[in-house]
Amino acid sequence: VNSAPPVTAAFVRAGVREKADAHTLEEGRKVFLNRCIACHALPDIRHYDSGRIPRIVGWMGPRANLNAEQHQALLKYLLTVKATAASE
Amino acid sequence: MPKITTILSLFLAALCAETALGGSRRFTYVYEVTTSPPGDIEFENWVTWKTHKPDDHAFDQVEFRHELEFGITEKFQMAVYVADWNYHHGMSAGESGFTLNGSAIELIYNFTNPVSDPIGLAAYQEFKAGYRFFESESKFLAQKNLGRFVVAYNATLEAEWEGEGLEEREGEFQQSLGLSYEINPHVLVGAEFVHEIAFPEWSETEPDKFFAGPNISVRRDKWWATLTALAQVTREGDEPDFQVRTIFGFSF
Repeated sequence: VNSAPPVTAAFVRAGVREKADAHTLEEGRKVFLNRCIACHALPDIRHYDSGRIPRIVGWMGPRANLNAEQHQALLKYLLTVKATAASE
Repeated sequence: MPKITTILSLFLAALCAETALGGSRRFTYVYEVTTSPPGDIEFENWVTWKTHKPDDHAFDQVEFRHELEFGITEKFQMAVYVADWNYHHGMSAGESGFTLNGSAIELIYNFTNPVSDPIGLAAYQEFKAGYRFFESESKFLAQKNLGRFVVAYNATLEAEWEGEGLEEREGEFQQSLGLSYEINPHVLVGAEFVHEIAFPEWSETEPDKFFAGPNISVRRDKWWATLTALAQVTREGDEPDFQVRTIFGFSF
């Protein structure tokens, strides 16, 4: 669960930089927890380069049958995870 | 021995193919609680080779299953076993030859998540029908993902009716446990353990049977393959001493 931090008030504030609201971040976390584990262990996104995250989501999203909304939500959630780690 | 060589060769060839990512099963005897994403359609082919019973050293049976799996909702998946059939040989298998066992429908509903909840839970129900044969199989599935480790447990109750008027009845309780470690997203290794107790006519209890062995799973872009080799730990005369199951899945 450390790889998928909950959407707290501080997390939502960090998400503003990614133009994400609380609902989008919750949806992104849900996608991360439910879809990604079908194929692999959840990676620790905090250690990933920000520029690499959209490429990975773009590559794996179709395999997980993500629609455009889920794709965006997941991407914003992961970028917010990265942003919160960078600001700590 | 040539059969093992062939299976291993196919598996190693698969390992060397293109690298990408795909969804798959970590185990072949144990079910996981996660379900296919909505809209996903997958074709799975099962091959199980059973050989050498303590009471029938010449016994050989190869079982085949062709399954179409559909992700219906975020938590519900359905599968159709288009055909289960086998080739058998040996004294205890009767005349050598092919047998069509029937077709089945399988439903899995996921209740909780194996990562974010204390334990992942799901329910499984299968109905199988064939010539003078009907079977109901209910499973309780539990799983916990701890980083790259996954532990999964299944408890299964199986009821079978056979014969002209389906008058022959048999029950079976099965438990299975799977342990898996993800070396990288493409290769996973682990072990599976199976415990079975049969209840002929629901009135007698046959001796316990235990099987255990290692497994390996490979995932690629549109396909995956998992192989488990089980040895009988007990010495029940009518059970195979050795069995190998491979499931090859392809996503459309």
